[in-house]
Amino acid sequence: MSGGEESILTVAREVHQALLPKEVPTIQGLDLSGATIPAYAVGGDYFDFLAADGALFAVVADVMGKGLKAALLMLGLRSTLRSVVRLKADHRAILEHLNALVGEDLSRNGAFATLCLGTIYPGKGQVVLTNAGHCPPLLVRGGTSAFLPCRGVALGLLGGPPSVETLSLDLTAGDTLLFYTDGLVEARSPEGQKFGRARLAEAATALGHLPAQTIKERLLELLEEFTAGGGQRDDVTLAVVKLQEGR
Amino acid sequence: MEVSIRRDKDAVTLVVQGEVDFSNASQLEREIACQVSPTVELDLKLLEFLDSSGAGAIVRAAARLFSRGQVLRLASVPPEIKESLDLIGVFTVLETMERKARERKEESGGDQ
Repeated sequence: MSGGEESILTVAREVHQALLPKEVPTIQGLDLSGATIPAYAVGGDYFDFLAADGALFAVVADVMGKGLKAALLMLGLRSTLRSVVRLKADHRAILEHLNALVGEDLSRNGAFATLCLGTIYPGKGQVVLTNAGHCPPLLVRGGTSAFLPCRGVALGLLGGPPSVETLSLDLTAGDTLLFYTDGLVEARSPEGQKFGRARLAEAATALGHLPAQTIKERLLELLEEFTAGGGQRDDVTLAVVKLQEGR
Repeated sequence: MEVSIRRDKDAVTLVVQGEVDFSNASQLEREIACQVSPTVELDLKLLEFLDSSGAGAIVRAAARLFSRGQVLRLASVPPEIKESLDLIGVFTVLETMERKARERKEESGGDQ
């Protein structure tokens, strides 16, 4: 790699890191934490937490591919989503705008993006989820956990209104929602074994009583131990949203 | 990744073996898109890994085939890979492309 290319990647990495939430928004009744670890200098994964009228808008997204191209497309997706979210509350309307605006850019670049949106209302104890081709979020409640059945087609693969499902469900105090990218569950051990959703669910269930930041840190430590020496093949993103007890 | 090709009268089968990821997805796309048979079958029974770049390569190649009046079919997809493709919506996209191609053909009187 030439010095020029290296400096471009260094700047891109700085921009990428600077745009990830450094401090999570303070929303009464919610405990939040998230992280993105790119496989290369920069990547196409990101997460975002936005506060809106006492609710939280959470997103985890993954632009197909690696490196600078994926990162540039991710920046377009992030900025557009941030703008659209301020204008539209309805998930279907948000995704329709996003697919029309960003889907075309993705398609023209031979790419697509998967994402999961969640609007969490701590006061009402409710979450609305929409999934566009992304890994299903995990709900940890007490000593159990379940992947939430919400599916759809990734952005940029089909024109027109997005083919996505929306799911609403009630939350109770202590519930934890985990949003993540495939880089976490597809990660391999040096022996070639996949980390997998079952391992994620088992670990998250055991950690469910802990604060969001601790859950995130422990899961990433577990992933690091699992993949030790195997190298990181894909970007990894994890966002944890916990409904606090006694909110 | 290795791709072996089996040709029949009106169809060609590409048997994909090994791993498809960011490093070789465009190679797979070229292998699929350069086929000229009316039906192109992608046999994935020996595929061990396919990431999102690989899924994108299949969709892009399918778009080129369907735009030329050809058909792409996936066969013998291993369960884990099928689950990943289904999650992204690849099967829905391929069905939509095939339906639109069929509608275009019907509108033009089937003379494509």
